[in-house]
Amino acid sequence: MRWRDAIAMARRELLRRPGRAILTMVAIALAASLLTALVAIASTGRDRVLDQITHGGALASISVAAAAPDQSQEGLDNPTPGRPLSLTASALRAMRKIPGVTAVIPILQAQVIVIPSARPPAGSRLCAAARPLPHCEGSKGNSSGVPIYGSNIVGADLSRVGSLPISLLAGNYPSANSTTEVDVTPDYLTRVGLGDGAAHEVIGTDVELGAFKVVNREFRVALRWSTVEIVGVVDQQAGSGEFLTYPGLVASDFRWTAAGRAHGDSDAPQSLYTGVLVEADQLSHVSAVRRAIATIGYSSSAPEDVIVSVERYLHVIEFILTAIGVVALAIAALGIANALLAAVRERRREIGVMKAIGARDRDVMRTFLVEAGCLGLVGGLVGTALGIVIFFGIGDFANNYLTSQGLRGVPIAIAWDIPVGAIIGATIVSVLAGVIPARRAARLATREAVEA
Amino acid sequence: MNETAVDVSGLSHRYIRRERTLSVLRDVNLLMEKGSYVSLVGSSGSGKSTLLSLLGGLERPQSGRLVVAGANLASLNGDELAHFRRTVIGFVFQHFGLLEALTARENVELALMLNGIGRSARTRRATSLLGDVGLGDRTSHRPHELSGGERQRVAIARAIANEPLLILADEPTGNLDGEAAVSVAELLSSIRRERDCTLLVVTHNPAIAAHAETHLTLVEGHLAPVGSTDDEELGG
Repeated sequence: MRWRDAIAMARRELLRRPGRAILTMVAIALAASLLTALVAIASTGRDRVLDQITHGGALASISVAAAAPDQSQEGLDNPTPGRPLSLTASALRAMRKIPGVTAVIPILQAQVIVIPSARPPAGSRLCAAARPLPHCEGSKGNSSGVPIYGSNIVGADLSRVGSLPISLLAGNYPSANSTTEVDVTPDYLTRVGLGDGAAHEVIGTDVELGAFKVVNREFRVALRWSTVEIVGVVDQQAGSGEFLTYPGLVASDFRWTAAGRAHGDSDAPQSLYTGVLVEADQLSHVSAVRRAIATIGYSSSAPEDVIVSVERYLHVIEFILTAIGVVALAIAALGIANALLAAVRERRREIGVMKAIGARDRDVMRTFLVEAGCLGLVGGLVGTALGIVIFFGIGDFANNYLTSQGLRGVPIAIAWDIPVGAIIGATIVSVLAGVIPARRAARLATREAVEA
Repeated sequence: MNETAVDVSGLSHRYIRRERTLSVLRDVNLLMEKGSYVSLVGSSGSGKSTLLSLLGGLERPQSGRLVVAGANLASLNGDELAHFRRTVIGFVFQHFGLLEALTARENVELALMLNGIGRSARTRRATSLLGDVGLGDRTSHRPHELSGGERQRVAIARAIANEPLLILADEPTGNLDGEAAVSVAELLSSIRRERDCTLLVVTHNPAIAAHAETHLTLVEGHLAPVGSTDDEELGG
């Protein structure tokens, strides 16, 4: 008997007892939906926890400081750096050559004077009271009513944001290599008197960033202003600052300020890069990469021990939730076995007739296994679809709650392997449940079955 | 010279039930030529159905020689016996043996499907066979939608689907009323003539026995002739 014929036979037999087939499939569907939803929730929870630890960056990321390593801190996740040491281009090249390194992303940082929201959008609560900036060459008017203050602007290659500890909270990242667009952090929102939920009120506004430079021995300062547009709000741990953009603008500001060293500004920064983010190909290689970075001469930190510990606990939770789903599936599979055993009893004579007209034992077995597989496949498909709906429903509920608490929501996405695994799992478990009834049917003595 | 379809000699068979040995067949000898039509009678428990199941490869012979269409059934394994049943034997049961989930045509197709015939070819052949047995307009009906006589006709169409050498019919009219029984008896007889197959029918129905050339009886496991329409001795 061909597989196609066995499937056709199985379909006929299932339709013969539609009530029993539907009830059996419902059991499988419920189990598959439970399995899908639990595994998806566990997976999302795991991603969320790890995302919190890595601040949205890669799990195997290493933060390299512009400082020499302190030998006494060796092996710690977050060591105190040693003496300052410029991160040079040659050092970056050496890091890229370390085995297991997949990305080396330099982080730039520059000090800036900030005049918030020179052009508040319609309806914004940012006011428009002008105030002059005193004692500086090139002073500007302040239209926001927020005091002028100093902060940092952080620059990084945002095209590789997936490897950086940066999460977009609202709006967009700056356009590629833009020098006129920035993202701001929630600290900026607080600074201008807005809460975390008011991100949309700053998006689209302008901000004046002034890079300063000491121009003579009397420490007179010259300011060079850039008007930039705020295009998004981010949570970022790549550097220390309220502004984030591509490296171009930051490098320019850095060079402007660093030129002050020639006029006696010993505090002017020497290193273009304040840090480097190195990504290893896997978590288990992080230690070796960090040792190699120390050999090159730089201090590094990575939450590898925390991640390993947390992952261990998360795996236990995932295992428990998956086990609950699998147990439900196994119970449903017992239903399949029971239904098929009943079918073998009912169709005893028909099985005998099939064998009498030439069916081999394996033909009979195949028919019953295909019946079990069909029940599992259809039940798995329906159940997995239901599980996805449940997962998204719970996800929406959780996100609404998180948002109402002023927290970042969870990305609601389901990896393709979870539904595929649930469908395949339901089918395999069902086929396994059908083995005993199928063997019993195949081994029926032909004559006795015919005369039953 | 006629070919031999069935060659049985010294065939004995017994069952062990509740630690008691029950001899069902004792030293049975039977020679059937290809194209012959034999009726077999006997009281209940005389071994008729056992003989049919042994000839049809449903059971393995315990002792004696049993050759059907040149195949020594004692030497065949499970798959070979299944192949033998598919290609050499056509069964007709008293209870019809139709699968309730399948239509009349699909029941006939089942035998062809097990023999590896492709879908379109077996559909054509099943439809043609049902037309041959007078059910051309009932192909899409399920067994419960057919009368007893019609069901048995479907079973006969299925039995001849793979053009078997030997048709074994166990009380084919046992569940039919008089008119339907006569009709089925005539159908079996005409099929035997037209298709040149060998027919062994277990029956108590005089109408069906009347079509047979040879009449055998089983008495307590022993096979004996009760008469032959052309005086040809077939059983011992």
